[in-house]
Amino acid sequence: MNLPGSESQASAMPIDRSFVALNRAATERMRALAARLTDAQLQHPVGEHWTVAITLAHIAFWERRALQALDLTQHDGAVNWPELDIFVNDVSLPLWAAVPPRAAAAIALETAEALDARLEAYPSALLQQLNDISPRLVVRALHRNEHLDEVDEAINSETLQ
Amino acid sequence: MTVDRSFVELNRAATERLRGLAGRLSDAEWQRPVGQHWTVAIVFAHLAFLDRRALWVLDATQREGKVVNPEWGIFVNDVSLPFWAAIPPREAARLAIETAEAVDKRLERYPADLLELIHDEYRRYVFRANHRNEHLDEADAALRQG
Repeated sequence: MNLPGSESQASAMPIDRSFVALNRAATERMRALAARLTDAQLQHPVGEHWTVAITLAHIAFWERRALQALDLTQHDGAVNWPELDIFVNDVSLPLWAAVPPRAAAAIALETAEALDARLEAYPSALLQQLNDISPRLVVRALHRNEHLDEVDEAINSETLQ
Repeated sequence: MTVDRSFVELNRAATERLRGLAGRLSDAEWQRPVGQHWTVAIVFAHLAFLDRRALWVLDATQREGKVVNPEWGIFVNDVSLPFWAAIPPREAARLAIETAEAVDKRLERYPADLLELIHDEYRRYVFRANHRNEHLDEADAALRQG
């Protein structure tokens, strides 16, 4: 988001720099937590659906979002804080890369199967409305095949070399 | 006008293509680069991620009886959950700490005028400790309860 007036001079009031110590302390808190927890404790539930490890992954995700926006803002010389959909793939990348490959495959297949079944049984009036917004919400094959074509190409090109 | 139902066969065929590929890849092929930054495994994670977004939209739309297609920030945590759960825990910790360190460093050296502008609009993106500590408090509380 480019804010109106964001290229104007900064106000005279200097920013409260207490964020430096607070942020460093929170980072240190994470480091200490990770160092002292056992493997079992890292899998300890936090709330209904999360674990300690998921909490840490969640923190990493939102830190990366902050990092991306800081980079964009400095690059542009004005506040640039786009909606997440502009760079959700970039923000997610190291987290996806840390998922064991066969687990990624299992999640992809289970999700695709669930989605296919959901779409096939979906109320037609609502399906029409979603299709009007974007056929890609309904014809999920479009997105899947685009990337599977890339995969085929990557594997075939390596095999040919 | 009704939706062209050819999506059923197209989607099923693409799912079968996923299954076929996943069934025949070697461990090395899973790590084969796809483009500059991705691997075959990352492509699968990305596909699952966006299929989960579609599922979320379908569920919310049916629940509300009207199209619900919000900005990512509303549901990215839900969509991301199975991926975060699949990351080996110590790898999740490493990623969180390294990213936090990078953000700390970046913020500490950030141009003062831009920092001011960001702070005025999104204070939590400067005081990153707030978000971190909220969740670390939850983790500590859960661990204390045993």
